[in-house]
Amino acid sequence: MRLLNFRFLKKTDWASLGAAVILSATLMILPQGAKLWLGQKVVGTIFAPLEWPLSRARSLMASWKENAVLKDQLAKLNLEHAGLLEAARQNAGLRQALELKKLSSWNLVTAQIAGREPVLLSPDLLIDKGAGDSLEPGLVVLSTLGLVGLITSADKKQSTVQTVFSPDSRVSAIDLRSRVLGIFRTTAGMSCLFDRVPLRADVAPGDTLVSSGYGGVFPYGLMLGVVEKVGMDKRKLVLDVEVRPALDLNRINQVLVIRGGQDPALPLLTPVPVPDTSAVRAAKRKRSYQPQVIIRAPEFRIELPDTTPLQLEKSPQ
Amino acid sequence: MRYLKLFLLAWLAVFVQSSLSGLLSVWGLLPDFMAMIIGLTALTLGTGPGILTGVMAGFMADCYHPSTMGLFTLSGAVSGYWAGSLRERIYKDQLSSQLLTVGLLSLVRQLFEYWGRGGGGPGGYFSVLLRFGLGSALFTVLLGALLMPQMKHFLSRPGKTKLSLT
Repeated sequence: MRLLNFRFLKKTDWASLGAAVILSATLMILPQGAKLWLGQKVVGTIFAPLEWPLSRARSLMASWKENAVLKDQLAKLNLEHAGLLEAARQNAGLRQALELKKLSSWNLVTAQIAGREPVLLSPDLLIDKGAGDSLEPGLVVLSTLGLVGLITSADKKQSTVQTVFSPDSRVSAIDLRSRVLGIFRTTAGMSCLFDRVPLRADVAPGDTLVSSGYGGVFPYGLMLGVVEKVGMDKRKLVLDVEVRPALDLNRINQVLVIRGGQDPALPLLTPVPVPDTSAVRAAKRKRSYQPQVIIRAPEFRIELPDTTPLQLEKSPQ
Repeated sequence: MRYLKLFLLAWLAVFVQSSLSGLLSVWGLLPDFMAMIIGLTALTLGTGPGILTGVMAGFMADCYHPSTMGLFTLSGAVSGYWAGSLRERIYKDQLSSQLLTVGLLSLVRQLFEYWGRGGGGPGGYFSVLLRFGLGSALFTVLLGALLMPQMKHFLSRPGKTKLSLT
């Protein structure tokens, strides 16, 4: 206990400073291994127990800051991603429109959909081109999905399009396979029908319907839909043909207006044999099937005597 | 008890210096808590306790850097002695005197650290001093203005604490 009594410091401070310097010098001249051991022991005993929770707290704070930064980045990237998706969608639409323009001989005007009539069933569409772009009532509007409708009114900067889903709309349609003519219409905007089709007509589910051009309003070849269900009521003179329309008003944001040009020729009304129907494919398979006789060489090996030396002997002669 | 108190203060200074001072870093400048503790102890209690606190804190700091073991012990002892010897020459109870002493101690300790770790010649030291040393000393002084009155109260609490050794 006497050694721990620091009263001698009263007498002279030099003594304590000297002791401290000697202690420092002793520590300095310790071997490197001893220094390491001493350091690790002291730090591990008196500092490490508090270091662990502190490092957890530091990590938590760092995570909190990092989280805030990452949330910011995520929000920015989400916005950017949404913008890129929209650009890709517009790009695809424009490419399709461009292809359509190349294929047809119509004079087409591209227009964006500026609005929809706020009704649930068969809304009319507003497009951003009008009389100022030489659009007028009666012009046909189509999209990459098929026939859209007809312009009913045109202001200077926008026009109203009555779609094929309007209860007042009637389109002369033709079954591409059987060349049966009928009228494409909707029943109060709820479902689409291929109407006025005689009972004995050849219409089957899966048949494609396009505008026939015989009505004089819509040109031939604009996609209308696919026959979904064919029903027969003997009390009626016509078939009940339900059609799944090709057009989905919620999936188009761009349309094309036919402002003039050459309409395609009217279609033939006699059925044309379709080269790739199931019957044709079956006939092809039948024709192509011929029994084949395969002649194979024997698979075992016949060892021949080695004649090389004999040939070598003969070759000088 | 009194030595335990000094040990706790030294331990606290080293722990805060090694673990928490990074959180208080401003433009790369760190406060010198060890200088604060050593200076305050020496000014309040005298040269002996100052040297003792310096040696304890320095030794603990040395344990974090075993390759230069003894360097911080020496700088702590010298700082404690020097601050204690100023005690009779300045108004030791004035906060401004204490802060000035602590700021100077911070510079002295940086001098030891620079040369002890093979930093280079005097020119290099003045460059480091201008870039970091003065800023760190000023930071220590500013932080000391907030903390030192509380620490002094803890050191000189009446009752069982009888540390007036000088």
